[in-house]
Amino acid sequence: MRATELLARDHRAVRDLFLQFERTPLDDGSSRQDLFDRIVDELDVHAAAEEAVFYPAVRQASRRIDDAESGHAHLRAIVAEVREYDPASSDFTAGVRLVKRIVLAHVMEEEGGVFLDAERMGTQALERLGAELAERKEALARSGRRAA
Amino acid sequence: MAMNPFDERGIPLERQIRTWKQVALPPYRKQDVDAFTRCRVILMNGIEMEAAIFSHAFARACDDPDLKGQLAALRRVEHQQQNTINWLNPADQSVLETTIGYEQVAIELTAYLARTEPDEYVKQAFEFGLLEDFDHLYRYAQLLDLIHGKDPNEILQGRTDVLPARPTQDHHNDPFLRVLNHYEKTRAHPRSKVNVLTLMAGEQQTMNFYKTVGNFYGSPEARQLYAEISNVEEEHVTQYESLMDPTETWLEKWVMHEFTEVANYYTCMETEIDPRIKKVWEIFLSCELEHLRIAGEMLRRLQGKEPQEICGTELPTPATFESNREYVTRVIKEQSALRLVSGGKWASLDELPEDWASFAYQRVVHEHGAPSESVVRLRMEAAGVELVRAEDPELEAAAGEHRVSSLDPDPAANTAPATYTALEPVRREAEPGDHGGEPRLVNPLDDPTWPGSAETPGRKPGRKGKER
Repeated sequence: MRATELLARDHRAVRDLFLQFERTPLDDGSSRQDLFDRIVDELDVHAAAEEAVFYPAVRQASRRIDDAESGHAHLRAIVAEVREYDPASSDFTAGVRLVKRIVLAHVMEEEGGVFLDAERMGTQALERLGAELAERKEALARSGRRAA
Repeated sequence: MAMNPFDERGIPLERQIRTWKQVALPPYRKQDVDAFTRCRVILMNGIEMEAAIFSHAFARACDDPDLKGQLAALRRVEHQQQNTINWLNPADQSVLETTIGYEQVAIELTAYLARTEPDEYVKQAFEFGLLEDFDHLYRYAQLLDLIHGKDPNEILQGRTDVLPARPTQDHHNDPFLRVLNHYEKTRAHPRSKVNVLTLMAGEQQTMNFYKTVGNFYGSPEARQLYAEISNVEEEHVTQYESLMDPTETWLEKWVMHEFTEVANYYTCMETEIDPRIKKVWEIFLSCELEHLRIAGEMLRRLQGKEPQEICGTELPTPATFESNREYVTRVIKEQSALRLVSGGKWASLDELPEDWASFAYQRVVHEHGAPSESVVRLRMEAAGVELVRAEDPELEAAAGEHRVSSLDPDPAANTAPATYTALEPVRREAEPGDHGGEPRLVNPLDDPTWPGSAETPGRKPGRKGKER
């Protein structure tokens, strides 16, 4: 699979998790906390694999990588803040909503910009990167790494 | 007059919507409006048009309903702003009179921006475009005289010369040549970003205006001239938008748009002499300060960047309308013979290769002549001379010579001569409405099914003129 397709699938998966979160009743604090943890895990693995494999390889084809990396840093800072809130509180709800909006803005720039730049590298290179990304994601998921 | 827009407070968004009566304000009187007030009205309509076009494009790329909603809320206000501004132009101002105003904006705005542009490459791009708009004014001025019998100075009020520059028939380029090299967003001066966006917005509205109103005249010469010049304006939009860094994020572009709007309204407010219209600029500036705050807040929350990183804190003054005569004259003298070559560069006419890409394009579009040349010839036939207006009599006297000497080596067939005495009288035997058996519409591809073609079924081929 091409690296860009794999990353776009991750984007869709995390968007689905946000939808699930929004459908969970406000008074179901533990489900909300669980879902948020899953979202954060998903984002952590995605961002770490992207930074270790995808961004360094694409940097020569795209001038948007600095922005993409600073977007990750911003996301991590906000996630760290939201983690401090009580999952039943309105601050938590507002915080998760902001995390979702940051993710959507990031996805918009990445899919509309970085991925198009990456296409210049050609199918072979992107498929090779895809395999490498999948491997890295699996290793990260196994180790249960949490970057934020 | 430096102002930090981030220190100012605007009108809260919920108070920015106005009633229809407040939206459709009475227009200015064309008989006594100041030429530069009209220029500000025309420019700010273009700035708001770009705001709407950009915001819709942004919304279509955006998957965040909250952000889409915010964009929609600001668009609603800016829609009203644009209505108010554009409709300050009165109903009795003819399309051609307004067109002269549009070209005055294009010339004086481009010249001011070029003069104050810190980036040498961007400056060169502006100067190149300047000479083209300058020549458009001269072409439309012939038409204004022919159709309305008016002097262009009724509109220009002597602030802008009417002279040929790089001839319009040479403005048609291979599309790839119009793509220039962009600035880099992290290195460019904020003023360059504002200048480029302002000029692109102005040219875009000019293109849209000509494309929309060129059919308001029945005369084929007028229709063709509008078609030709609106096509050049399309090239100008291509040229100026290609100067922008494509890696600016949507949110950064949004901030830049709002900052540019603030800068333009602020300049209008500071320089306006009509007290009623000054109030309009002041109110809209207050609206835009809030829009800038909202866009900046979104950039901060969603991308973790400060808006000042994108546009700085010092407000430039792009919408400054003042005399640029000396500057424009110098650019005409030095750069009329410049042409676009590949790689976003320029070369002199005598350096162009024989297979210069734009020759091929010009051969196609000019196969039946260049309307921008026909209109000069028509004026010569009607009044004996072409119409020129310049403060410097020497410049006025040398106009025709200059016009012809800056032509491509491969000019269109109907190029008007340098002096009217060289013009052979044209005998017109046909009655009005009779095309002497020639099809009125000519298909450049010689397709027999093209409307108006002699072979089109159901039409009478080769109709002869009526006998008296």
